[in-house]
Amino acid sequence: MREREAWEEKIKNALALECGGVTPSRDLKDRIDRQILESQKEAGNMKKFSMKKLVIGVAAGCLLVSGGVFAAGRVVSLSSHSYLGDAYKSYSDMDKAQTELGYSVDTVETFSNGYRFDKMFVDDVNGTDEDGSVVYTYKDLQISYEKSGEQAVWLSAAKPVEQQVRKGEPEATRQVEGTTLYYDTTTYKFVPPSYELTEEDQANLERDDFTISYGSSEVQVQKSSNVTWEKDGVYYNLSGFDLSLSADEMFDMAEEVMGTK
Amino acid sequence: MTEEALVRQLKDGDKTSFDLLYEKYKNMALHTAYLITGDLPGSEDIVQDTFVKVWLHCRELKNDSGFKAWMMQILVRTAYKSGKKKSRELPDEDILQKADRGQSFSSMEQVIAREEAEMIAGAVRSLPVKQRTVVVLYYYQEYSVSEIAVMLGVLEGTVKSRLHTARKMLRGSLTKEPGMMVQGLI
Repeated sequence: MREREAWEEKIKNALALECGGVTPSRDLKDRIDRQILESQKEAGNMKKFSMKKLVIGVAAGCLLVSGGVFAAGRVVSLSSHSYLGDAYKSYSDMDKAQTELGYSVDTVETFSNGYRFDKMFVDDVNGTDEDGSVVYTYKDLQISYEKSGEQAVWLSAAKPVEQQVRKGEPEATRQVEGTTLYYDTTTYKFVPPSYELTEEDQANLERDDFTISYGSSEVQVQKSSNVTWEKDGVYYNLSGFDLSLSADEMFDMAEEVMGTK
Repeated sequence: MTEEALVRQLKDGDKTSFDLLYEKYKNMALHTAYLITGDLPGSEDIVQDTFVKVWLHCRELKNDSGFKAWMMQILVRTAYKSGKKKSRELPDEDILQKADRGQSFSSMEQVIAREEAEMIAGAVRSLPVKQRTVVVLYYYQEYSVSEIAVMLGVLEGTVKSRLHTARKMLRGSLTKEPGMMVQGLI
């Protein structure tokens, strides 16, 4: 790199000062992602399908749309953008995370089956309508738990803007002190942006337990398991991909979060 | 993971790689667009257009190690077109933001340095967009004349000529300001 004279440094410093405090707005990335999605649809890369089946920007493997549960209003997709660099790495930071979230939620550091806290972050979830416009945004706490040799389990907790409604019958339920826990499984097909839906995909999309997620580098099919419940206005979702846990084992973990076990 | 590996995955349609590259370059891209256009909301539009083009056209990038220069080429050309269309009036919110930034300076030396920097920045802002663009790329982003020529799609001689004109105009602006040191500017 060439050597700079003092006056050249002054110009650089003056321009750096001019940019001080100039940072991208929080919704810039959402606007970029929406425009990309629209461009791809216009280019015919994506065939028409129910937006309820679309999950974009799912961060770090956690699920925004749980099996069988959807927002009740006109929002048709949920998206979030989180980066592991923003994550809290210690469970002792829970107070900070809950302050960021704005309210208290039930959590645990370890489960009796060996799953332990790994990291957590608070992200903004955007609800968008059919036109791709952001209708509302709410905060969501995501905690991941790990266990040697097993897939990660995620616990999310949020107060969504819209009432969450069930669609379809759960695979199993458990009643705990007046609260109903629901167990669902969903097949996720992760595909590249240019992926063309097959006839089989089109047929599968008619089911409530099948979702296409655009944005991966290759086609990959994974099965998610979820236990969902609502307590004091907070919706909880304990989930993971390709878990070896049974419905009863996941219900037990949910009860540990609730503090009833 | 290296940037080249991220770019390879981006070309395969990997959204996470795109997100990571956005995180890496979002501030640099916004600052460059802002310095060229002087319009903060407009600069966000430029960054948005740039990253959408990056996603849609990444397979056209021949050399994976040249991602940054390629992305900057898209950004600068988009900003350059935008800067030519818009006036140089500073939006109200930008003026307020600048006023806020000034409050952290306390000592006399800092106040003087701050005033001098603002004069220089003001002189750069008053340059025509062609000259302003090369000044931002050459002095702020520290690109070479040949790299700027490729980004703007002009000859190296044209970049040198614009830099020469820019220095001359800056000297003209700054010598009007009392106490400004402009030795060596041209």
